[in-house]
Amino acid sequence: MKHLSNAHKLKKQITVEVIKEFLSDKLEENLKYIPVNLRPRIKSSSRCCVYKDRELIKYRVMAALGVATEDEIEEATTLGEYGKVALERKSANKRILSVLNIACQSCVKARYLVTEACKGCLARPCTTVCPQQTIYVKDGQAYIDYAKCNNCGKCVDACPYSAIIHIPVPCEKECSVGAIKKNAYNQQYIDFDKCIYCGKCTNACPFGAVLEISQVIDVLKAIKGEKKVNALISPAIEGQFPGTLEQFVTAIKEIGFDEVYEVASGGLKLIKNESEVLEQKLRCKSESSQNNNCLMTSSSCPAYLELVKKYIPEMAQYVSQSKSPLQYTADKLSSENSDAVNVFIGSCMANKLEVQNSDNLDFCLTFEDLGAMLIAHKIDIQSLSETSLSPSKHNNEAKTIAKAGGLAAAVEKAFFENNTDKIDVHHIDGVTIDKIAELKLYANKEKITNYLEVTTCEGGCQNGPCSIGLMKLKSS
Amino acid sequence: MKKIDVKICVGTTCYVMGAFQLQHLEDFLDKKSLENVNISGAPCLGCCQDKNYENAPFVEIDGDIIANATIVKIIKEIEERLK
Ligand code: FES
Repeated sequence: MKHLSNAHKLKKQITVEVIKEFLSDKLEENLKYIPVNLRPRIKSSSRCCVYKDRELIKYRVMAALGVATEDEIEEATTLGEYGKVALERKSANKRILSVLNIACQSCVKARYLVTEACKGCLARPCTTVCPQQTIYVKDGQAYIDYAKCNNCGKCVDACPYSAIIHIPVPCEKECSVGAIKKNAYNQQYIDFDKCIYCGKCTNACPFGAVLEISQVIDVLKAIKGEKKVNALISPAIEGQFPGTLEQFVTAIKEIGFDEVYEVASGGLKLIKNESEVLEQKLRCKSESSQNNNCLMTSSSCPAYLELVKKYIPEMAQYVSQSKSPLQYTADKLSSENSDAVNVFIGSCMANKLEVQNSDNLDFCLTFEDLGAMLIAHKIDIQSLSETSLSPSKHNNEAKTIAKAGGLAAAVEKAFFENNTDKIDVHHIDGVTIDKIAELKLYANKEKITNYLEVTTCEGGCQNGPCSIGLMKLKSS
Repeated sequence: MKKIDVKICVGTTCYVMGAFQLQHLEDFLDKKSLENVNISGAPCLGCCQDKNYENAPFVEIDGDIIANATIVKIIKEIEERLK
């Protein structure tokens, strides 16, 4: 679950400020005020002093402009100059994530620590359980010899006083594929050959040092431009903002989008396709008299597709050939008007990759970006009138695909509408190290199911790294 | 005794800026507080205009506005009133 953290709030605030400057048409001139306004001298600092805070805010403003730390021209380059870069570029930055190395606290390598709760007892199970014999006792207190320790953690359970603790590196702990690691200077960096773009590290770092490279400026430019701009809304939208979906559509149009489409409509096509293909597969399997252990796995989570490509190649042959709901929706829109700009709005970071690789999609915004746009435009959704969506209501069923397990359940249901055979469906909710091991079992047929849905984020797209959070309180 | 009225603003600005977390207030209240409060969501309280959006989320407790609301701040206010 996402927590209300100051790092999050700061990120949103910066995005709001950048959007406001864009809207005032004085982006290049006024960007330089943002760090000073957010950290005036009279205000207390989060770091050693307001000057360091301001320097860090500069890089966060760059990220909001769509410029990564790695794109830094010179240390002396001003925000105004980066504003110009953002305004003049023709396409969005290809980078998705960036580590702000000066914000990275260089957390000590993940390790075990004997705390002062240690009593230096007679039994000393820690010393006997350690396979490397790294624990020694001096002056009535146990110590770990880090030169020999291999981080097995056996001592933690052995201590009757719970005196030994594990200190993780938060970003490394969240990364299920070991893509974020330390460089020679002890700072984290992302190995993009390994990264699956799930975005979990961005929320894990307590210093907010992993930045997401935003496309808000690119979208604002498109809105200002001549072409028609379509907003393609993720099915994960349900419950992310106050008000009704129809009021939300009005809000998006007030921001300046010309048309609003639900990606859930592509979801219906996906469900139908998946159940039909599954049917065919099962049929030819049973004809060739093998038992029903054919496997198909979902293809709509872009981070999962990266995971398969990079870590579970043996699964690739089972990945469904269906396109994602987003792709179906975008293809249909492009066939109707190839000149329009298609902007996907969702809770996911890996979707940026999908958008980049698609001919029919142009930009990707997150719900957080959209929230910042609403604030900058002073739009209060609940006070707006309603605009109905064209195909609308039948998309409700397809919206369940934003929840983990929703797609598998919908495919099963669609399958049973035409079949009486038995099928087994299963879903993997959230990719972790253990779940990757389980996926390998499926890929190697050591575990059997017919339809395997995988969502990289626990809970599904509605809990994506850029979601706002599900609304529970209804306002009267 | 009249119950303490806790209105959590779930207007657009407050929700985007973090009212999400405040929805779990109930889970943090002790029995006595729970029995004496009435928690509800509220549309925009009108506090978020202009520069003031930075101080969202806002919560209204018996007519008093709390800016930069956190669960801890709300609990403190409730306990203060129950004394
Ligand atoms: S949205 Fe909460 S005060 Fe306006």
